[in-house]
Amino acid sequence: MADRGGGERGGDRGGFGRGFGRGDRGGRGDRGRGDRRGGRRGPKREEEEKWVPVTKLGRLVKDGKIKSLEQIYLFSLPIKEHQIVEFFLGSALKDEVMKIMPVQKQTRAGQRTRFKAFVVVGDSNGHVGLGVKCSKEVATAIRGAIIMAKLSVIPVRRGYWGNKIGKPHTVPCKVTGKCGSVTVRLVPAPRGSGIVAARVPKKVLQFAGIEDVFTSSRGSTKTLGNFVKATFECLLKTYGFLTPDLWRETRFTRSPFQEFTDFLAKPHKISVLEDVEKTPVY
Amino acid sequence: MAHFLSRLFPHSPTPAGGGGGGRQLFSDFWKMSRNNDSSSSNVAAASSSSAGIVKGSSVLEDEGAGGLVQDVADLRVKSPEEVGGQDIVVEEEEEEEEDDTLVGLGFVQPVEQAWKVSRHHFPSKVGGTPAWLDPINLPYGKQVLCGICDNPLQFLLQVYAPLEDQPEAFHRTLYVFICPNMACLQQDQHHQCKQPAEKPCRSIRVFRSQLPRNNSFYSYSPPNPDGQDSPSCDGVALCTWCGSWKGHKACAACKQTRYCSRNHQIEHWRAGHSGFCRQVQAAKSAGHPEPGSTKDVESVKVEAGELMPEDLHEPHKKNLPGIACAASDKLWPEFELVVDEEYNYEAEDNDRSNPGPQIEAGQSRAKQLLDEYERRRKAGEEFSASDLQEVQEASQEQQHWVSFQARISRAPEQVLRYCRSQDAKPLWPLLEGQPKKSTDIQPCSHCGGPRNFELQLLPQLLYFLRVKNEPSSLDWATITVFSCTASCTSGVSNGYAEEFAWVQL
Repeated sequence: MADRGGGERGGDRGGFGRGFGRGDRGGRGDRGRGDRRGGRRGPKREEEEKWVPVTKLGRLVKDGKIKSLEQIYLFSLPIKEHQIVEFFLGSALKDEVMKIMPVQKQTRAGQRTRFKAFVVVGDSNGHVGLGVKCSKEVATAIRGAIIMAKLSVIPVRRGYWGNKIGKPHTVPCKVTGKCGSVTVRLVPAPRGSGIVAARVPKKVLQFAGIEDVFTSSRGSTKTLGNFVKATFECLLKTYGFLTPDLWRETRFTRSPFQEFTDFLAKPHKISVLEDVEKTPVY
Repeated sequence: MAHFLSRLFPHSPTPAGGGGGGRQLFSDFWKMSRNNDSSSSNVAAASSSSAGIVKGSSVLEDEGAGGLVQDVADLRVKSPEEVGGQDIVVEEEEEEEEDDTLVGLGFVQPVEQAWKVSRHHFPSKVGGTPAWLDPINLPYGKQVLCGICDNPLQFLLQVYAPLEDQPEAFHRTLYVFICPNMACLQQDQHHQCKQPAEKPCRSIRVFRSQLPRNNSFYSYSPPNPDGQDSPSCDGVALCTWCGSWKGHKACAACKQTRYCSRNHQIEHWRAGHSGFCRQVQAAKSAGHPEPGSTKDVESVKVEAGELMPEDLHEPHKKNLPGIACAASDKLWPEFELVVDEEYNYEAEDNDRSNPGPQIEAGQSRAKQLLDEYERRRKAGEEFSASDLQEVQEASQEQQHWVSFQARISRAPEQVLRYCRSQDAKPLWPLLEGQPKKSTDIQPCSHCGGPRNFELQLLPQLLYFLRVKNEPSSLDWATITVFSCTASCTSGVSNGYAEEFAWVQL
């Protein structure tokens, strides 16, 4: 027990444990840096890799009660911990820095430069996220942007242009998304067309796993940068569009938070999985 | 910024002149970003002369990649007169301050030896039954009950936090009790901002007890570190069901089991006391058994763990002196709480050789990505700033939450943060739901003095307590405890003073 040894330091306390209170900051100095490592941290180092969930959804995921990311999307639950996304998508998730932009703020002592990192993550199989983070150091900005990107991962639905052979390769239908004054329209394209888009949304669409698509954009050219946000809105809408194969009535299922009350009370077939898996089938 | 570029393109001939003087500061791309603030003045100074240099370098680098000239113009440092152009982005202040107050972190550890959590060893523990510091003058009456559902509160944790500069607080423990019902906690949110005059009904209570070194309950000298000691005197009888509160009521049938309230008597009856009570009554050849009534008994000085006959059918429960047994199975699992200091990996520049594993992995990944980015930049496949400038960072709330996560990632298993200094600020996970310093934090009800932040509980605790994840199970973002700055003893009627807790859901 490491902390009992700390009792000797508190002078007149003798053998009483020093607990959480502390009288002076000087008492901390006598432990060398190496000692601080070896005290409690040393043997515990490998356990610091472990993720301890902070939110209820995180606890459910860690317990294994939620089988896929799609279950979370189905109920529009906010994902607040990036480890949840890593848990499901794992190594399939690729990340890439799109740009590192120095931004400056005018201070009395000159300019204060920080770095804005843009990172896109995706598994090329229906999930993509974009993250932006600004920080004084490039490494911190990149790390932060990766986390923000993982938190913003969205599901992307893919479909066919014509014959339903092979895997889905394009958007299922014409979808349009709007952000600011920019509207982006994604149009299904035949195989081999490739992604016909400007550079930034092209990257996002590549990471989403869409192979062929025609795009068309409209809006003020000055705010061309809204393109990527509008593209995201578009991709979000792919799952919102009602196509004939979804005409079958949906059985409403319980959200993960409510579902497991019953699950614990009596044995139940988890019906939500059926619906989720059936949706993208062609 | 000219220096930034020359680092990225080491093959290009270096431009001579004023740029050389500043370049030694920017010898490494990584270090450059770190030395940002110290050399911002240099950058500004160079900016006035940078125009010529940048143009010079762009001409020289033309042979490398054609598309770079535009990018160079984008990136060159603008002199102050040109502020207001599109490259200068005025952002919100990011909270990247590293506060210097050292924070003690609490971690849960399984109880290795049962005697370590007995009350004469002054433990800090989570779950199970509380180890009361003052075993006689326990809280009673309304303090014991949840203000909303009137059930007795359940013990969450206790922290042994002595004050070294106050002799009357040589021993000092804070106890946190909470109602396990989530509906009560949600109602409590409305009550915690009420003034005392409006009689707020809280579902979470914090008690503080302190003793001088010379007291009637424990010996002057520290306890033996081998667990052979017993406390100097016995405590008051505790409820057999929860093992936490004073058992001033007794079962009228067998007259041996004590309870703190009717609810606990009913639960114990259902859980098996009915059978046992009958046995006792048959042995005493008394009349018909019934849950009957409870009678108030004067507090008999009996050590709760020793003579209770219930232990016969719960033989696995500890029966050591100074530890209370409880028949309830709904108590939270017991752990010991150990303290460690928060270690700031990122601030230790000279110790970069050994940061935490998560940070290391993150840094190596960031380096990899940066290398790939530089490669693509060289090849000219880069996006211009205008494409991306509209992409905003996430909302304030999300950024605040992510910075909270980054702070706790230094020690992901922490469950408690302790800092008692004057300028201590709690680490708030969420932006909304924070108390306003002047109005919401009640002054001490005993001495009238101000209350200050002392410790906060984090939601990782719920994971370790294995709380279920139903809609009715507990969930919080943080519970902050504010205690009397002077840690007063005057005006405290019994041994326990109530402190203020603020819950953020």
